[in-house]
Amino acid sequence: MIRVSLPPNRSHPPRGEPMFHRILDADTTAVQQALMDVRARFEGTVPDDALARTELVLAEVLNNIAQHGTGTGKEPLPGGPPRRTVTIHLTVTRHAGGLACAVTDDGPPLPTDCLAEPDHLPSPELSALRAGGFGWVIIRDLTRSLFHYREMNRNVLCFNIPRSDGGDMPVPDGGADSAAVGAA
Amino acid sequence: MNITIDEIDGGVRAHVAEPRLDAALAIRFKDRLREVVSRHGPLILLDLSEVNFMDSSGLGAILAIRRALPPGRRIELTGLTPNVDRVFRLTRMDMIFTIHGAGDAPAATEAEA
Repeated sequence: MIRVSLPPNRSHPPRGEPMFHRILDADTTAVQQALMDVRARFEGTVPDDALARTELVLAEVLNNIAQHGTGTGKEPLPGGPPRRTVTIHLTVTRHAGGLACAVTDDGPPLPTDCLAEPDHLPSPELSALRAGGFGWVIIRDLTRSLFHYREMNRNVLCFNIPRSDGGDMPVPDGGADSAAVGAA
Repeated sequence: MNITIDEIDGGVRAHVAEPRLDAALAIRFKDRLREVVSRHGPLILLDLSEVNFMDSSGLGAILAIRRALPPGRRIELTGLTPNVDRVFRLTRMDMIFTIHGAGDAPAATEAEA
């Protein structure tokens, strides 16, 4: 932990990679605005398809926090539990391989099983009847290097959205072994 | 929340005139769609050609209405834009809906591509 004053970095181009940062209240309207602003920030600098995947994943992640982190659920009812105020910090940075995203929030701990790939998927018909858990299916499918930790009183969720969807498939990690990763 | 209704063979085409079906709009969308399926049928052809963005909240609203359809009614889909199509594919909900391409949807008036 030694603080040094860094010399001016001359090796980087004058304008670094495009970046987006916002601190927002965890509510669906603020989330919608942030998503549109992320799109405006990166449009034309990454492939349209990568930006569309980023927008979808961020919508799922941020709205999860707005709905579950605040304790209101999907349809706040009169007389339901009081809404917790939760603040989200969102950072998106472009890099050669795609868009790196970091989302933190001061809501309750994210249930760890959200990140784990389920052993088996229910049939589509059963999924349709349950109509839940789709957000994490989408998040797990479209992200790479997805990880979560708790720091101080915040959830930190980081992931990468690859530039191309086809060429960058998830690395097989041996199925049964992956269940143990969460405990590490 | 704007859904316009046109008569077609066997029911109605319900055109969702919104660019985004996300969590901010999901409850209003669901309420409006419930109203549509209670008044029209038997086929409700949900036209999503104007929807550029849909997340799992928008999908959840459609599924909730499908679960509680009045007897004899059915929902089919048309006009899926690439981003909307992606959500149906990733969640495998493309397997439980009849999804019409631009050319093969039941129509009384010519649909715009």
